[in-house]
Amino acid sequence: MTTAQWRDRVGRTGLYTLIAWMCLFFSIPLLVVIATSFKTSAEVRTFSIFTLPASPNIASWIKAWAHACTGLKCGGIRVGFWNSVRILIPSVILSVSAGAVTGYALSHWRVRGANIIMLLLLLCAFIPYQVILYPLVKMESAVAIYGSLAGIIAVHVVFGLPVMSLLFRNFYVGLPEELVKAARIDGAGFWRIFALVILPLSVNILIVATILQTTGIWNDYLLGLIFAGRDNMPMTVQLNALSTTSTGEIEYNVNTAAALLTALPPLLIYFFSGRYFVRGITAGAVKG
Amino acid sequence: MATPVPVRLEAPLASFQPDRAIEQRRVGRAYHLRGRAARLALIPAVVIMAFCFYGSMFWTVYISLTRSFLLPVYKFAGTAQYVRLFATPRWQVAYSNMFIFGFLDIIGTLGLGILLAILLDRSVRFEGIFRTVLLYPLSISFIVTGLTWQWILSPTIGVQQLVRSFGWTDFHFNWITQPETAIYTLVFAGIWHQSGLIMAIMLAGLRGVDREIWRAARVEGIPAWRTYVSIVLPMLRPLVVTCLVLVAIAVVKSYDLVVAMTNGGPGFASDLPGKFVVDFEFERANIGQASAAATVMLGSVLAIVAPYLYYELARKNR
Amino acid sequence: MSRNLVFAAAIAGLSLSSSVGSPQAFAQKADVMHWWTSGGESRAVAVFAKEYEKGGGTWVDDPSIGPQAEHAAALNRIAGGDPPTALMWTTGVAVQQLAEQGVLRPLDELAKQGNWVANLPPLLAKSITYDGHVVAVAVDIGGANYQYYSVKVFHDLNMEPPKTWDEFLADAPRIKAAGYIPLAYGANAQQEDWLFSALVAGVGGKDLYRKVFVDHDPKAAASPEMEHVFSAMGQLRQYVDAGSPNRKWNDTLALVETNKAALMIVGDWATADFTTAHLTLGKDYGCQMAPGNQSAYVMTEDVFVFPATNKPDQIQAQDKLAKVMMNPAVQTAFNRIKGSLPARQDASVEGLNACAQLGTKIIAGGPDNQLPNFSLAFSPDTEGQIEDLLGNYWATPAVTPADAAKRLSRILASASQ
Repeated sequence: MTTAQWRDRVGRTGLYTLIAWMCLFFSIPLLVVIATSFKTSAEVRTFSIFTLPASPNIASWIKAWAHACTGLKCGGIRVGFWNSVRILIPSVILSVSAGAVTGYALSHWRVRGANIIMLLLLLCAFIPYQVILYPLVKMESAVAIYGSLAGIIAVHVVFGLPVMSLLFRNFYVGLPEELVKAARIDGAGFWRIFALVILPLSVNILIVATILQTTGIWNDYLLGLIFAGRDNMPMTVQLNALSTTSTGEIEYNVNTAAALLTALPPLLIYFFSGRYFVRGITAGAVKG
Repeated sequence: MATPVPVRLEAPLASFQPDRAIEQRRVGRAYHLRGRAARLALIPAVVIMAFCFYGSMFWTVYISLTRSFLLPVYKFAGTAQYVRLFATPRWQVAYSNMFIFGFLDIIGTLGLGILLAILLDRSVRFEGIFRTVLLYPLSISFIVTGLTWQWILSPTIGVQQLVRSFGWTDFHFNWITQPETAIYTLVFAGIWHQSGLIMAIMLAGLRGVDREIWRAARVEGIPAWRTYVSIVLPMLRPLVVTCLVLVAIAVVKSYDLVVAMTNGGPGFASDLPGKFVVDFEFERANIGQASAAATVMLGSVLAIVAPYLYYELARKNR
Repeated sequence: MSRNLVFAAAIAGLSLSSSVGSPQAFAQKADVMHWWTSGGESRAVAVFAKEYEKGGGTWVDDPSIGPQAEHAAALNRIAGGDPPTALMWTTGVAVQQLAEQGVLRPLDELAKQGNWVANLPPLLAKSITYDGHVVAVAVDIGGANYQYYSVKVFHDLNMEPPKTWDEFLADAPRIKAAGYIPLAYGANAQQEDWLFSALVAGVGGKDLYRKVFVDHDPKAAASPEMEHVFSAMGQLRQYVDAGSPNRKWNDTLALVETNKAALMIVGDWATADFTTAHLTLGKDYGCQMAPGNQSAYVMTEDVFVFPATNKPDQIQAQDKLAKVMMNPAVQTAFNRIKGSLPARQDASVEGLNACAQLGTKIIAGGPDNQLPNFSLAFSPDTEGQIEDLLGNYWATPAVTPADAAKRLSRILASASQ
């Protein structure tokens, strides 16, 4: 081996070691959570969080999914699963679309004060939503969508708009002007250019946006609790109800199993769309 | 300075073959309508912004000038809430914590995220697995992972106890139980939570950098790290700003993180304004105080963030 | 002020009539919000549900994630025009706040029929009344000032569980030297409340307790007796273990269950936890009142309130719910599972939690023995301020007992409720 090759080999090993250590640091909490979910209640009580379960037992997983009690219903977190799905899909589609159109309108079109509008919109993202729940409830009930599926979807769209718009706006500004100009000269209007020119190039950023929104909406519970109405409670409400009791027994093994089950959909989305995710922003460079 | 983006002009335009004569007139009209269509498309966003956000913020500021406890009471009461707020030791601690925590969390998350992106950019194998491992903290409810961090950092059942059981009986790691250091444990968890996302975004940006740049740098004999620092990262500046915004938003809204890890303790040493506001909003049934705290918190953050963001946004527009 | 209640009912009616989204109204369908989500609590709620459904009608269960989330959800539902039939609420001043806002339906007729007020301890009767009207139902009582101790630890050390705080402070060094944790304690707001209550009553006496908790007297808060209380609390710092900050009460109780700690100051709901861990009263663990608290009972209660409505089927459902919940026999059955005591004093305590039964004797000793807990005594805002003070004092030895007493005095002086 030449010195250069040797240096390269050392460099690569160092690189992999560094990454591996990082991953270990990152995964420790996950490993503890997984280990706890396979323990029996007695084992959890002995407080050695780093020990592996004596014999992995899936009783708490089954209980979390199907039998855990939250109030009278002892149906586990399965109860809310389809509700979460019904809330997730329209909310993601609508909020991503709204962000895309807004970002597009603010990037390539002569709109006076586009920067100011973008800034004002962006500043809204900093408001902690708990403070403005009451006025939103009043607004929603004034248009008669409070406590319904439409109500919770509307709320998710509203809260997703600022960040989604920023994401798309920054991406589209990075696309060369010549593209849109050429299309204008050919006589295409606002929507036509969006459909035929912009969208095909946006696959990448669309995936980024989808992942961000899916994670946020899937894991939300407070908005679901307040706006979704009794019949549409997402599964995160059950998850949190399981984990949070002030004077009753806390079953950590069931809670961790429930948390892992709830985290599965976003995790799967990361894993499978991961390739597109990276290749995504790649080909169109979210640059500016 | 914009780098030429690898562009693939898509086929759709090719199929659009209008008659040139009619086109001239259409172009004239299109130019006139152009701004109009965009403005129309922006109406939903502007309406939402005005009513849902700014309208609500205005309502919040109004409530901070009343003596509302459980439900809104619209009788003006002057600055009483602010007077009380600034005299509250817990608020003083929470407010200063926001800057300490924010500064460390932003630097740490961006730094680690960018570092990880660079490492993964060097074409490693098993990238899918690494990336998923680094991204998963974002996907799991913080209620559970925060509690897990609490266990791990606890001196009696966590790392300190583990290391001591290996023989190093003098090992100390009880940051989470000490008032002076509890806030730093929040930084740990915060960095852990979001650096995967930053890594993913930055990695994608890095991948979009023209390989020509790399070739040119190598020809000039510039070492890799130098290329990153002086050439590549500045090119991705707007992307870095987006990441900065995402982390800053998370800092300001921190609630689940604090509750799950330290619940603001010991005492209120690791409290943050986000939790302060929510506690007074719900648990303490005092929305007057909550609104005052929210107003002060947001006012301070926006005073810093708005000018900077405007500068960055204006830069990008050609 | 009672005009408010009527006015509120009218407003509620208006907003209800403009709401959309509630499923078809079955007769006597009760939508009940609460935060009892653990296994034992859920089984207890089932008692109410079954009773309610006996005469026809459905119980729609609406459990929430703890009191704060439930409050938020309930208030917003009321604001949005879709109120639940009944909801659990934090007892005490918080109920008064709701009533003040005109949100609750007065239950005077039912109270008269069921003879509620006469059969509740005076403290509770006061807590469910606003401006002369009964606005809530009380379903159970808990005692927050017990000590649960490890039989093994005291047996090994040949000691008795302490009868006074001075005794405990004298015994603690020996316990610590033997390798046990003298006081199992997790420094969070809940446990701070329990410990502080037990100290005020045990070190300062019931009179001081009443002056501070009932009369909100700032002078009493700044008195030497209160300084003495804070001083005792400060001395306890060295007798807890290093993992104490922010540790949940059941994890802390586990220290007693596994015989690592000598005792814990906690309420009678701890019995259920021992039972789940298959431990026997008398053999593995013991319970008695906290040191110095032998004739004091720090009372907590759970209450349900009924949002104002003018929908006839909702009103019918509410009536039935209230009757079920305040029925003595039902309360006994409910509490048998939940592990606390019935709120009604004419309900049987047979078969109930043995530790909770200690409390009945003390309650029977008269109103003088019955002390309000934090929720019954203070508004949530004031309670929060005191908790901030206690948490800060505990975590910061640099704050002197005199400082702490002064700060408490200031809080009481400026507290409007």
